[in-house]
Parts: sequence; C-alpha cells; structure tokens
Amino acid sequence: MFVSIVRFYLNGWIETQFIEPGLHFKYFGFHWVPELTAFGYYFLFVLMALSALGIAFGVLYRFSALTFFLAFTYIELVDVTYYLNHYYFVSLVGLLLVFLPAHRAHSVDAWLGWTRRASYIPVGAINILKLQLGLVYVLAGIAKLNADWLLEAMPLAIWLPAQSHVPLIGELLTHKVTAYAFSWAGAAFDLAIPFILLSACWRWAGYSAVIAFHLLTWSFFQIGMFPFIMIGATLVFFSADFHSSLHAHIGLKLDKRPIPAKMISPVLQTSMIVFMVFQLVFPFRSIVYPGNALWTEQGYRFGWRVMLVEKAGYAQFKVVDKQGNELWVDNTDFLTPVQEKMLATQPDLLIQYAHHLRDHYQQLGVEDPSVTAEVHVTFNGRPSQPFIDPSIDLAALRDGWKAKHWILPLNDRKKG
Amino acid sequence: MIRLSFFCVLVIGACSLNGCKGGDPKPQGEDFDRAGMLENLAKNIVGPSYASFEGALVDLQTALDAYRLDDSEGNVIALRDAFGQAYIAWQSCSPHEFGPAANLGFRLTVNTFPCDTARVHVLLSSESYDLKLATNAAAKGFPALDFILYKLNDARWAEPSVQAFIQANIDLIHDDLHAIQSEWNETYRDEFETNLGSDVGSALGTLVNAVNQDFELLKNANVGIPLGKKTLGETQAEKVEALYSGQSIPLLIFRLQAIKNVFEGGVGLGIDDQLDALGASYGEESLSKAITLGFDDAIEAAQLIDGSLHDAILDSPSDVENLHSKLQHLVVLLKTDMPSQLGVQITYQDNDGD
Repeated sequence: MFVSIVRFYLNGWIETQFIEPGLHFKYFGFHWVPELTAFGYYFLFVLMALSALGIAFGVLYRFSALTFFLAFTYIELVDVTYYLNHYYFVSLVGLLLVFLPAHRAHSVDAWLGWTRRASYIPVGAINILKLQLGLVYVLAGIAKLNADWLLEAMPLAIWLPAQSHVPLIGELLTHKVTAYAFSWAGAAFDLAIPFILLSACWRWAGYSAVIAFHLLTWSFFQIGMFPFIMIGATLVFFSADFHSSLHAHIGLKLDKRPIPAKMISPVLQTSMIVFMVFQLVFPFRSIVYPGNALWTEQGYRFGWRVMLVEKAGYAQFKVVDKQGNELWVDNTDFLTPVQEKMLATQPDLLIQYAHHLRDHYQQLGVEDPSVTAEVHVTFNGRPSQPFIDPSIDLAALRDGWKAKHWILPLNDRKKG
Repeated sequence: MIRLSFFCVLVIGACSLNGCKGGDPKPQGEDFDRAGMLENLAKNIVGPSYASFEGALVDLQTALDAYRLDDSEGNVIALRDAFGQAYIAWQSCSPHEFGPAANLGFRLTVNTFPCDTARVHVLLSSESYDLKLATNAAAKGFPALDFILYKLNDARWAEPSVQAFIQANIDLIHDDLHAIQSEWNETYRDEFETNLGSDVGSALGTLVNAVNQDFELLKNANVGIPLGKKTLGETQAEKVEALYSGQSIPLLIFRLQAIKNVFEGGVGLGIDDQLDALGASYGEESLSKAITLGFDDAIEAAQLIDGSLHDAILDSPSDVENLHSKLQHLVVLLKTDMPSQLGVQITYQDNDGD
C-alpha cells in the first residue's frame, strides 16, 4: 500500500485528480464530503503512507489501521469518477484490519510490549479475510456470466487484438478464439480459485495460477496495482506452517505460547457476520433495476464488475433558458478528461453535472435554466446509440435509489 | 508436490495455447500491418504536411520581400495570395498537434482566433515586443496577418512597423516549424513508427487523441461559437476563422479533408484499414464507411454554404446549422465508436478494465 501511495504521488495524480479539477463528483449519500485544500490532500496522503507503514510493521497497529482506513476512504469519497473496485477492496480490508489482531507477533507493538504477544490468532480472523477475498473472486466470476462475456467474448475481443504488437503471443491475440478462451478461462478462474486455494492439496497449483493470471492481466491492461495487491493478499490462504517457515527464512521466530482463551467478543462477531451478509447481498442489488446493469450502470458500483465493459461515451450538454434559447456546453471548460470520460456513461453523474451547470449558468444570469443532454455511448462493440432521453431536464432530477426510467433501453440488435 | 503442480499448470497452459492455434482458420485482424500504417502516416501524411507548410512560408516570405521592393498592385495581390496559400497549408498541419508540435503549442502560435485587433494596434505602435508573451496570445499568427493584410488600411503597409510586424509573425511561425521538423526527423518519427501499442503514449493513441481534439476544436471554435452555440443562440459571426479575408469556408473544407486524410492514410494504410481488419461495424455498414461518409457529408454541407461563413451565419443560419449538425454526428463516431473499437485509451489513469 505504501508503494501504491508513492506511485500515486510520483504519477502526479494528487495534483491532477484532486487539486486541479474545479468540480468533484460525489457518491450518492456522500455529497457532504468536503473538498480539501492542496495542503489537506498532501497531508492525507502522507498520513496514509505513514499509517500503511504502521500496519505493516505493527507500530501503533490499531491506530494505524483506523487512520489508514479513514484517510483512504475519505480520499475515495472526494470524487466518484475515480472509483475502482480495487480501491473499494482496499477500504474494506482496511476496515477489517482495524478489528483484527494482526499485531500480536512480529510487530513493533509486541516487541515493545504495547500489546499482548500471541503465537496464535483466532481462526475467525484469518477466515474472515479469506471469506472477503473469496467473495471478491466469486462475485467477479458471477458477474462474468453474462451473454456478452460468454457468447461474444466481449470486451476481450476488442482488448486483446489491441495488444497484437506484444512479442511472441501478439499474433495469437488477434484470433477471436483466443478472446473466447480467455473469457471462459477468466470466468472459471474467478469462480473456482477461492475453493482451489482452500484445498491444501491444490493450493500451490492455485497460487501459481493466481500469479500467472494477475501478471497476465497486469501486462495487458492498464489496471495499476490491483494484480499485486491480489497476489499478496491471497497468501492469507496458506497455512500457518507455511508462514512460519517464510518468517523463519527472514529470521523471525515465533515462541510458542498457549492459545488465549477469550478470542473475539460476541458483539464483534455479530458485526462481522452482518458485514459479510451485506457484502454478499449488496453487489446483487442491480437485479431489482430494469435492463442490463452493464448498460444502465444502476447498481453497478461495489459489485466487483471488473473487465466487463468497453465503453466510450460522448455527452453534449445543453443549457436552455426560459425563452428556449440553447447554450451548448463545452465540457472541457468544467471537467478533466477522466471526468468527461467517466461521466458520459454514468447516469447519476450526468445528474450531478447538470446541477452544477444549472447553478453555474444561473449565477451568470441565465433565467430558469433547464439542462438536457444528448449522450451517445458505444458498449462492447455495439454501434454508439443514444443513452438517455435527450428531452429530459436533468437539472430537475434528484438522484436516488429509484430506477432511472429516462435511461433508454439498450438496442441489442447484433452487430453486422 | 510443488514442482508437480507447477508442471501441471504449465502443461495445461501449453495445451490451451495449442488449442488456440488449431482453432480459427480465418482470424480477424491478423493481417493488419500496424507498423505499416504508422510508417505510412508518418511518411506520407504528417511529414509532407510540414514540408508543404514550410514551402508555403518560404513563398510568403518571397512575396513579402517582393512587395518591400515594389509596392505595385500586382505584388499586393501576390502577397495576399501567398498568405492565403500558407493559411491553407496550415490546415493540414493542424490535426497533427502531437509530439514536437504539441510541446511547442504550435496551433496556439499559428492560429488563435478571433484576433485581438486592439492589441495588434498596440504592438504596431510599440518599439519592440515579444509575440510569445501571454498578453499577445491573440495578437499573432495568421489571424493577425489576416487583419493586417485585409482590414488595415493598405496605406499603412508602407510603415516600417507594419512590415516588421508581418516579418515578426512569419519568423515566429517559421522558427517553430523548423524546430518541429528537426525534432520530428531526428528522433520523434522513429519513436512514433515503432510505438505499436494502443495505450495513451502509443503512436495510435496519440494520433487518435490529437485528431479528435482538432476535430472538436473545428466543431466548436470554427462553427459552434460563431453560430451562437455558447451564447444562448446569440450569434457571434465576428468570431469566425479568417474573418477579414473571408476564407473561412475553404479553410474549413481543407481542414476537414486533412483530418479525413489522417483517418484514411491517404492512399496507403490508415485508421480506416485497421477498423476494417478488426471487423468494426456500425449497424449494417462498416464503421470505416460510416466515418468516411460522415466526413463527406460534412464537407458537402460546408460546400453548400454561399459566401463567407460570417455572412452565412447572419443571412442563412440554417445552412450553418446543417453543417454543425453533420459535425456533431461525426464527432460521436470519432470519439466513441472509433477509439472503443481500436482499444485506444483516452487517459493515463488506471481503470477497472472498463
């Protein structure tokens, strides 16, 4: 995580993503999250980096974990356009770590006697991490069980040929059948890997597959740190003996101590169960919305839907005054390229942007502005098509949990 | 145990790779020669656009020199004509604002319009000035020359300060062009031709983004803003390109053709061929055909406009609206379907794979 934060800084993303944009998009229910000054963002990132080190070395562990979780989540909440499933994953694990006794051994805290030393940690603590990881894989696998992925090999059929310049296997990637093979293998991998890792006998094979799979995706796609996070995180599936011997290799020894009697309080236990049930159910909320969630993006986020869509959208916003005069908005006046790209395919962000435009032009003296948008989106190789009702006044809408009926249905006529 | 399982994974992996080989006898996209396309675009499209611009600037300089020796009516006409030709040659460079040109902000230097004529008057009465200063951003380049050569009373052309201003602008553009050409020839062209990926820094990604940016600028700055799209329908006809010489329409058509030319790669391999090799479709027809048609429709709509763009906006706005809607239709294809089918990334940001 420390590496991740340093990478973020080195890429200049603190500057371009948080400080430069004049407008930030918020998560539904989190509009209150205040934006910070440049100093504030840098301060939070430093805090995050220090607390990540704190967790790793077990320095003031609980405090570090809590700080890390809060800082990381705060940064995420500032702008929804940067949403990534793996940031969400990091937040969740961060939250779990606050409650797990991961500092009882090989930690500075234990060494200094700030916490009770222990050679054992409750099996529940390990299992909940396994469960969280397993859920991510399985839910990502279930999300892949859709017609585009399985029957059209989309979007891999677009993405893989784009890599045809890669030495050795490049030529192979241009074959449609390769995209099918990758799609099916990917879905099978996601669905099966947690179970394979659970089996002692197959664990090494499974872990080799984890490494191979994530390195492959890392080399093909622009997905940042995620592959390495998963490669590291899945080590939790290995046995205690394995970790002890690993530690022994780097000169850390564990003195055998008796298993403590009281492990986890009932309150904590119950909250963990509630947390996991939520984790299990929340990703499926898209079922209650009409249409394909990959198209409408209703109930899309926090659903472990990774690698599922190739989308590009173009949104032409129009501000209309009381007399019906139209003003065409130039998005580059308000948005960064990332924001412009993300916004065009996400209905809730269209509403937020429309509200911003209404307020902006009202201040400039436009009377009773209404805001409409012609949005065209291309989705998994289909011809671009209108995404929302171009006559609806987006500024008059409020975002909410209710289905957005102004999203036009996906015209699924197969491409030629 | 460990070795055995590892071996199994390798074997399974090898088997599935073999499976791929044996499968599809006629794969899509296999034959496409990406390196060939980039070489063609560099050698036959981008390189020559700079070379002809260079030639046109030399002619402009010659015409200015001739006028300085003899301010005959014929030399006045020749000077204006050379300026018009240089402005046309520029239109083919405008879509290539990447690499060395982007580093210098070449487009801003050559063609920031509308011209700040008040500022030009200030410069004409100054002893010395630096055209690169931000305060002079809209008082230089072709829009400023357009003003001098077609609006300023030609009695003033004899003034040394006016001739010096024309010279300073030609030099400014010429110097930047030289810098761009030498960097292009020495290093950038090779990098461009060998960068075969589709990510943001790749040649294809760079090209697609540059072309789209230029096209959107054309739609907004050349047509949309004068037509009143940013001012609640209140037209701003005086904001057209080449207001004083009234050349907006021919220039716009040359620009559209230049962008189309990048897309088609002239007679050689272009983005259209890559789309065809990928089997990209748009409804019943191929995506490349739809985009080519989109360019043709827009060019035709521009040809239908009578007289200057400035006058058409005031007298027959529906013709200009028609052009604008053709551009709007095309921009969707260029900014959604095309990059999506090519697998081109628009930003450096990490993504979820979406």
